[in-house]
Amino acid sequence: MPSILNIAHMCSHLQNASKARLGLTSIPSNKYNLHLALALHRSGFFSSVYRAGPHPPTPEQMVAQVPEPVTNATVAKMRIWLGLKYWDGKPVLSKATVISKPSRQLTVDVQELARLTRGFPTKLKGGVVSGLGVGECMFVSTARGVLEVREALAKKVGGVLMCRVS
Amino acid sequence: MKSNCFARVSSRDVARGAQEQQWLARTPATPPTAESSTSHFHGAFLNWANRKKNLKGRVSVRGSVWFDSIAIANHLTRRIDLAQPFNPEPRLAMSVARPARSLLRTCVASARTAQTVGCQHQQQQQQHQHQFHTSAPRPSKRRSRFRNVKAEDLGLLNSPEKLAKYRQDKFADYTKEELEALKSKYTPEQIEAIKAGEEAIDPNDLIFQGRLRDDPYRPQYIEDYTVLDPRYDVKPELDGTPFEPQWLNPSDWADKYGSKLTDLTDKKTSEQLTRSMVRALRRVKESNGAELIDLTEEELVDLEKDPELLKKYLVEEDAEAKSDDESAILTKEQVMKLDKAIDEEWKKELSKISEGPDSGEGEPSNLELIEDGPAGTIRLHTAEAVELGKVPGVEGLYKSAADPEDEGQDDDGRYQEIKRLTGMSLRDIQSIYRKVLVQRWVTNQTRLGKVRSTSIVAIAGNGNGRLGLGIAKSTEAGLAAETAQLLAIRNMKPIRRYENRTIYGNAKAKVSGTVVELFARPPGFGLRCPHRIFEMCRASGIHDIAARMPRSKNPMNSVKAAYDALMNQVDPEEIAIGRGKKMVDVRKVYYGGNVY
Repeated sequence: MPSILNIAHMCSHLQNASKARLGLTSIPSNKYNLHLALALHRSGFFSSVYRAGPHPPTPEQMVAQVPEPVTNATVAKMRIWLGLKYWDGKPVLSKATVISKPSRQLTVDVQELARLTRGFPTKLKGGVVSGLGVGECMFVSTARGVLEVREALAKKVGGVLMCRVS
Repeated sequence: MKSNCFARVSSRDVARGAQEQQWLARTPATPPTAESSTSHFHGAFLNWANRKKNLKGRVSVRGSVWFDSIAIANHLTRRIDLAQPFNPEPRLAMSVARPARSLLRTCVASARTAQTVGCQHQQQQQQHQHQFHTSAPRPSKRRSRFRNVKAEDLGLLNSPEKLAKYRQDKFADYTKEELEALKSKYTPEQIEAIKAGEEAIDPNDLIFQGRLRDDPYRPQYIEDYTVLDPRYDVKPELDGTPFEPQWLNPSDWADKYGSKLTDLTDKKTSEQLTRSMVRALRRVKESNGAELIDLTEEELVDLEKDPELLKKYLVEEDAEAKSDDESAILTKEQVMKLDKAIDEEWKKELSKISEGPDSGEGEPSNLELIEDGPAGTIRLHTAEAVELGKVPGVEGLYKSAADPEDEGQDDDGRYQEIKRLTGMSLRDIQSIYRKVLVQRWVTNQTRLGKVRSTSIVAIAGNGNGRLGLGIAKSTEAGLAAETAQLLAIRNMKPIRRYENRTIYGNAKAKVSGTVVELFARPPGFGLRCPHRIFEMCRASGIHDIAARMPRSKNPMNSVKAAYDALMNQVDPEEIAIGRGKKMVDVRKVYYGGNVY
């Protein structure tokens, strides 16, 4: 089980980056971050997800080239570069907060997931989690990868609640 | 001498500027050596270098170089005087009023030996810049980039031929061609005036004393002297002829008085009759005889105002009738009809006159009123002050604001401004729901005491999705409330409503320490929220909502925060566009959308 602390760092970094109106930002390259980034990309929060070295990749590079493979020599330098989106002068991703903490993992089963998705606050083992609001997304780490709650519900899998993004 | 002489200066001086620059190159203006220089002189040297740089940059641009080069020359000569062997004592003695800082600096400098001056030049420079406070030093007094050029410097004082040439250059007399050109434009009187004006000013005065004013008090207007300005112009003498008083005996006086009154009455009666005749004509023209009466509407109006004008029209008509009486012949029937109509109106007018003086006809004529008035000829030689007249700026401001569309609802004009701004009718404006939500009594502590006023926060809403917030303050509570409400109407903006009954999702806003959280609720939930938010929801047409104020409940901030929260709801459309995803409202999907 990877540490949820990575996700906490990623969430706060994304909030900071969108407040600074950055177009491209990077997070440490690890599997947990990458999977969450891809799930966020699926939900339309990012324009691009690309793995590259310490220097930001050009748009042409991101479109044309496959990310270079990670080797033992380069693994420490690798970053995940995320293209942030803005619409109408406002960031598409403006808020990202972590739900589970290392000291309090919150797991949901399918029934609880269904309640949360319909917007009801739900009492879990670790505490009460408020339901989804308008335009909000929640991400769950499941046995089938990091999924958005609606995807997880469609696949009928539960897991660890990671973060909520809006 | 011509009035546009100043415009020519700059174009001519380009060549002269080049000459002056050569002169500058010939002067022994070698930069002083470091050994002999004090910190002052070092500054001068820097100045010199900078100025020279500036000069180079500007040579090709305009004639202004000329002024600058002279300034530099002056500057240099002054500075070279200072470059004598440095002796601090006399300078210290000379300037008692020197500030403490520079006194201290001079003392420090005097403590050094003559040998160390050269090697410690750098340090001195630093000391020179050292300040006793942290803020940036004030720049030295700002001077114009262009110095005045004295006539002495131009060599005009000593050589008369130079002066004559300069005068011919700058302030030449009019040539014959120019005079001809003037004659084609101006009347002889005007040309005479121009000539007199030219003669009144000696060109030498302009050369020696004239300057282009650049001070802040220079007049900002172009004066053509058509209007007397009491600040500068002498009031002209009125040329009224004094008359000899006639001391009549009582019988003569009575005769004269009687005849005067009879004349006045005759004149007044004839004018009355003319006026009523004109009115009758006008009425006939309006009703049927438009093409039969020659006088136009405007002419008739003029006639009614001033019956004297009738003579003019009568003469013209006669002349016209003689010239083309063939074309202007009316049929007999037409004439009869017209006569009859005019007769009727005329009779009506006469009966009106006979009714009495209070029908408006017995009043004195305008002319009499003017003659008798404070500015009239009768008062010409009195000690009474003349009438001041109306201030042009307030003319027309005291109109009654009544608008016939308002049906007498707004005679004091309170709603006229907002009617103009919103384009709504008075009825619509008055139908808007308004309410004062917050009232505060505030004081402004002045040195004269406390000034108490009332601060009002009001809302306005049309009950169908529009809400406005108005804040006003006044010493009059009623006025503040009214102003706040009108402001609220003006500020009305549409707010988003989900299904025209609640809000989109949950909204939250914070003003100061007050946080307002609003929650969308299902149909029939009602307005379960604090009373001010309740009023706002009622005004804006929200029917289902829950609200919470977890922190401060300050009335004013809670209203502001609730307004912010209502204005900043999430917009699913925008979210969908931003993420590139389709968003579906499930309430409209399940049960075929029949959720009610």
